[in-house]
Amino acid sequence: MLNNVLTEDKILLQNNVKNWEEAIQIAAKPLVPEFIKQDYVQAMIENVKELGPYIVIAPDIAIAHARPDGNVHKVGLSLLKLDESINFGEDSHYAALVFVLAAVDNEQHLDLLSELANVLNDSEKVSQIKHCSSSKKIVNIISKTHKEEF
Amino acid sequence: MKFLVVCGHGLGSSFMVEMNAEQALKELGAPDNVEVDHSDLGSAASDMADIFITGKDLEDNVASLGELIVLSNILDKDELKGKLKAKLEEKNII
Repeated sequence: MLNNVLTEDKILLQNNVKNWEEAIQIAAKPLVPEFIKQDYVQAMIENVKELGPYIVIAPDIAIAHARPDGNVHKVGLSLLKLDESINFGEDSHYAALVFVLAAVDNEQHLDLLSELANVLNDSEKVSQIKHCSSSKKIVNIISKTHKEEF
Repeated sequence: MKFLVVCGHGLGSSFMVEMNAEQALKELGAPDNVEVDHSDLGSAASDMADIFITGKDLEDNVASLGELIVLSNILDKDELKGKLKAKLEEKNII
């Protein structure tokens, strides 16, 4: 499932961003408008302002998301890979891999997330992804994980 | 005995931790009556579980619910397993 959702066209690579708000905006671009409306992007940003940088779930990995409010059309996932990590908080919450999760409810994205967790729990894979120079290579690494695990 | 993993919206990170916690409990040989579920900050309530698991960024928001396990890296399975083990031993469950 992960491979059918996080496809090459959903992955962006960029050297750096000005701030974490920009990171979320750029990371979400491949999902607008087919998967999410622009106000879901704003909701993800507000979410961090309100609750802090907890979306940085592990060193160098952020999963931006918000509670869907009629602004998500279907479950989706996109990724912005940065060469220079961006800080999401005052005290070092740096992320180089910024995922955007589009959730339509509390359930439908859970299989997708469990597959993504399998990739992100493998520090070797995370390191490889951070050094990729193309979205195609990232997809290859993720698909290898998929085949080994299932 | 019930653990509840709590995150901002109950959509993402709490579920990932719940999966890792279930695996860790199995590896630790915890009895079947030790359960794990996930929830969001808004709906989590004190009577929903015995022990609440959350990341350090949300610790202040969850602290009022009851007994806590606070994770510094919520994807770190070893940290989670170590803290679950300590808690279950403290309660004489394993």
